[in-house]
Amino acid sequence: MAALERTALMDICAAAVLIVDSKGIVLDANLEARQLLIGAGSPLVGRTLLEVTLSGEVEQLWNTCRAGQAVRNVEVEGLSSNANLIVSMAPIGRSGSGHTDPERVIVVIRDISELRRLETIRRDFVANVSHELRTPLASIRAMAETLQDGALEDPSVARRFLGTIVTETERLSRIAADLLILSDAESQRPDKELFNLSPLLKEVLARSQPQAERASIRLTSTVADGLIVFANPDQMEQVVVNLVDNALKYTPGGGSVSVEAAAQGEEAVVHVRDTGIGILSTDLPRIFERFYRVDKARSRQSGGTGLGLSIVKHIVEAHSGRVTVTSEYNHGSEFTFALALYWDGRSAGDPGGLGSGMESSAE
Amino acid sequence: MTRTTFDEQLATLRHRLLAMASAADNMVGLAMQALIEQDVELAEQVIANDDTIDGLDLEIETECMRLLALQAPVARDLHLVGTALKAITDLERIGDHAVDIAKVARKLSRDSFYKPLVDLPKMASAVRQMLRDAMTSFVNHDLELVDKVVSDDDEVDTMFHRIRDELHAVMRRDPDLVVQASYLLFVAHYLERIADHVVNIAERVYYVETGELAQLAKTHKTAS
Repeated sequence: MAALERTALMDICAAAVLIVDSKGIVLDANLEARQLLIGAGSPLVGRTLLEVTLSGEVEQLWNTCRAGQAVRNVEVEGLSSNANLIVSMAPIGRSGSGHTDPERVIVVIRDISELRRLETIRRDFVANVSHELRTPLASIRAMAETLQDGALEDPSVARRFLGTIVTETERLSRIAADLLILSDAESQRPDKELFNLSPLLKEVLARSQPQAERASIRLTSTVADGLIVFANPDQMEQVVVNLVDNALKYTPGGGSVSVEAAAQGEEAVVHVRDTGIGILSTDLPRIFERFYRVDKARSRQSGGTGLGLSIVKHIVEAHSGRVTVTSEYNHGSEFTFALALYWDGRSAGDPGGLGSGMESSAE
Repeated sequence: MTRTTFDEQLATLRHRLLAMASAADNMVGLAMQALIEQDVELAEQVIANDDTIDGLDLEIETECMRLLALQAPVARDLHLVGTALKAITDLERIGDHAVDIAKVARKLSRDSFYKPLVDLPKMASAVRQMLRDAMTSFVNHDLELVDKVVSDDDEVDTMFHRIRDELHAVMRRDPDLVVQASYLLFVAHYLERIADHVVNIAERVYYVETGELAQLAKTHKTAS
């Protein structure tokens, strides 16, 4: 095969392909290998297999292969400690007798971290849903049984128990409602229309003001006028409500929450900042996962369903927008979402005139 | 002896050092797995594996002494040999702490945990990432990664304090859990120590590249 074809063939492979000589030194590597293995972009050729994988396991597999044993789909850990790789190796040419001591070994490495991650999310989700439902159910059942066993005769106890039953039922309804919102956001394309995000923001903030006052939190806002977006207003309201609600929940009394919305380039960008408890950077990548809670006891106490941020993420992404978070532990967090802006109030364009291309903006 | 063979010997030294780091990293991973999955057999395997690390430690030290005596290396070569001599001690200690964790895994293999272990695996994963980053910085001569290792250590310390506070609360709440919680506290402490050893190694990488002996971490915090 001509060299050009061989390079093209190797580069088109979705797996990392390495050719290693009898001393364990990389002779050739494809595009994917350069991305998957050590220091994306730094040269692989001329380095040892151990240097490019940092894995003693992979080196051992290479020895196995050189001893004449096939290596097929062995799972090893990757360069980052959360990465899972599947390794296969085959000998090329032979210098010893039989299949031992090949001149070269071809190494194929597939990255299955994403697959593993999704598997874990799915497994955790099922476990979490049942756990989240079981906790209120267990307490409702315990209260009801105690009432049945005679507590009904004691009005003060009975009233307290009934209060708890109502609270727990409300929690169950909230979880069910949030799950529905989430599955809608995930499965359906949003019904979009052109509308002004500014009044919606102001309205949500006005509604949150009493909650902030009760918690002695200063809730301030700077909202630019005329942020016209093409989106689903109900869903956008949900996004803002969830973010503001979270900020208020995780900010201790005396702190402040500020909301800022403005046109930035071609986007309407909304920041929700708080001076709350913050999030550790190890938790940050996971907070948008369903039911993921940084501090389980605390957030359940505060009445959260553990679904608020996943809802935010799904809605914003279904609108081809983006949502990001930065946080400093013990100092506060800032959530930002951005949507394409269609008319920012300064340009005199007719928002309706931007029509036809918009539908395709949903993914 | 020609320069080429000397270069080869240095390359071999680098290679062995990396192999030892990878083995230490692997041991920490297996020890944590043994703890989480309450797998006694795996714990025993980690405890037995310690000999491999100790063997590598001796082997590399001997090799370094031989290079120093026969080649009288200078400049960067000398830095490398000096680094190897120091780093193997840190790696050997990391292996020891992995064994310590495996021993806790053996002790707790029949307990039911007071809650599914979430934070300790997270901390272990952060610590192991630091080690991989230190190794990558060594291979790629990447000093930015050295900085990352040092700053990640602060985060590991924060995680340690959080886990410690939680375990203290568990002990106060439920005296039956004192034994289990104190063993888990040990695990957190071992992980925190491992991170400190990784910072030492990262500092040595800085030394190989620059020839400067820097105390990069502002303070070497131990469990407090």
